[in-house]
Amino acid sequence: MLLEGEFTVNRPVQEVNRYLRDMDRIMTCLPGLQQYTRSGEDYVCKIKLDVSKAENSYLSTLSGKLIAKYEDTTENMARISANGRVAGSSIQLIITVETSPEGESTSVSWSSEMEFGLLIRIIGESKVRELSRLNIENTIECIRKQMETLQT
Amino acid sequence: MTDKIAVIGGGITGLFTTLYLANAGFNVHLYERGDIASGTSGHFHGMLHSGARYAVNDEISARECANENRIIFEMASNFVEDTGGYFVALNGEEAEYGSILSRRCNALGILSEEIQPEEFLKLEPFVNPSAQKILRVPDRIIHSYEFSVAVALEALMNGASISTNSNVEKINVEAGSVKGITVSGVNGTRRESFDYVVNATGPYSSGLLSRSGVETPPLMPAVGSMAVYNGRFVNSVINRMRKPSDGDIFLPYGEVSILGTLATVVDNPEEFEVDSEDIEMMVEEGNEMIPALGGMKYSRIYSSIRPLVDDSSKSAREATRSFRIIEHTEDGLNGLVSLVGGKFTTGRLIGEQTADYVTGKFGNRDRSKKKVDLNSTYERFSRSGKCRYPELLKMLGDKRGTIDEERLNPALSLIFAASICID
Ligand SMILES: Cc1cc2nc3c(=O)[nH]c(=O)nc-3n(C[C@H](O)[C@H](O)[C@H](O)COP(=O)(O)OP(=O)(O)OC[C@H]3O[C@@H](n4cnc5c(N)ncnc54)[C@H](O)[C@@H]3O)c2cc1C
Repeated sequence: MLLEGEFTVNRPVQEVNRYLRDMDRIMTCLPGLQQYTRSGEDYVCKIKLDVSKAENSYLSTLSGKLIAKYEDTTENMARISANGRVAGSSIQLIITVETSPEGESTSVSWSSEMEFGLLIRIIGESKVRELSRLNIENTIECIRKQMETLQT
Repeated sequence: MTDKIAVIGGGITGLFTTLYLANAGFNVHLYERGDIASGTSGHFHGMLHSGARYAVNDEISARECANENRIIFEMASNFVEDTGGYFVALNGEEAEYGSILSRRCNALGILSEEIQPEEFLKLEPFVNPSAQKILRVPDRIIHSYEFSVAVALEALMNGASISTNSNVEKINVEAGSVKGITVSGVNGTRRESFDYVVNATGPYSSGLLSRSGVETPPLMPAVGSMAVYNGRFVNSVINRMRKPSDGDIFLPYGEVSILGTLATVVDNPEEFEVDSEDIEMMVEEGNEMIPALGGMKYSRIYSSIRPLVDDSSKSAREATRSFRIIEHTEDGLNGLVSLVGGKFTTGRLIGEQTADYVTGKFGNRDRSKKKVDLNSTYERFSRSGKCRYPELLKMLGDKRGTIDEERLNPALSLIFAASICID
């Protein structure tokens, strides 16, 4: 499921672009992040994915590991992928963020995709869309907030 | 109609269904492809839930478990270890969850009491000493095989027949009605006629139903795994104070301790492997709760399938129970129900409600309100003359008073279980 959107942050584009290269900060926005360690270009993250929306008493959160890294970056664009396993199922999150100056502010457009693999089986097809949307929206909202509070 | 009913599946659900149907006077025959409780009911975590684990996120399950915990303890205390349970918060966020948990337990009538961490750590010295908030709840431990065999024996003594090692290949259907089953056992394959069939194969339902050409209920099979450690590290059920998650229950079971669970998704519920990397994740969680485990290797892993029901079609508020009795009449088929969902703790309730449901279908009898006392079942069965191995029974009797008396107790269940099969 592909989601996309746009927002404006009240910070100059250079600052926002610098932030987009600061993986240590962006990492903290990954859904359900518990802790992470760096191994070369890779960020190995322990996550707990909140699946309580699936309304299943056994499965409120599921544990997993993701490896996050930059796929591609240019002056005005960063693409981050996070691949790994949750509950034995492969899972993938890709976020692309592009910036353009808008006077003193920055216009940010983003697109993101989340794949749940076999997890669909236990979460149920209908809930998986909601879960992807929720996780992506939370991640983007977290990134937006971090951009808003950038210090010069 | 001769009121002849087949129950397929000798897990806790099928066993209690058989017992209650037999008590209601039906001519009931249970078929199990392996031994009693050889499916999920023999590979679960061993907890007789107090309901507290579900108090925050699943009120229906919590209420059912709270009730059943009391009922089972009353009817079968011989098979239950009344250890009590504790929820343990290891950080501020978990302690906050504990306040919600405590309120929800109160609202649902689940006895809970906050105790001081220092006091708790004297009782459970292996738990992480940074425990901040502790809530005591009435969790208990149930000895699965001995208990399940008692239910089977009780059903047998009430007139039911049970065939173990009997795989039901197919439910036979003619002109939209169930006519019986095709079963294969040690004596070959045969067809048996029945008026009604209860499918209690739980998480394994899909295979049987599709072989029979019957629409499969919306099951979402998920594997659950547990790690066994040699030695009793704790005296009670230790739960992590947070939303149900992986690796957050640690409990004593006989002479070992069991950490669980880890949820994984698999392609085929009949054949799967759990990745050791996933197991490590659960073990890391367990180590946080019981740091001493960090320096040890678990002795083995066991896994089983959860019979989760896909209730996405229904809002949770509409649901009145945590399991479903699925009639197949919607698919144009009479004489068959499938049971899905539930927990070991609620197996009795599912069996009772299914027997009520089936009794209602036949319309010519009242459900028996006969009280079930499983504490005296082994004793009564010993005297019933139905045990096929009196010489083994005598050998075991002779071990009374020896150093091994208690260690050999479970052997009685095996001797009795071997007496059950009539295939
Ligand atoms: C990891 C894990 C931990 C759990 N922990 C707890 C816990 O601590 N407390 C709790 O209350 N609940 C717990 N549960 C839930 C509980 O174990 C199950 O809900 C319960 O055991 C299900 O019982 P059942 O009779 O429906 O299924 P099963 O016990 O699986 O019984 C189904 C039976 O059908 C038989 N069968 C299948 N196909 C055929 C066929 N064609 N012919 C004949 N027989 C057939 C199988 O051999 C099996 O014995 C846990 C579940 C899991 C997965």
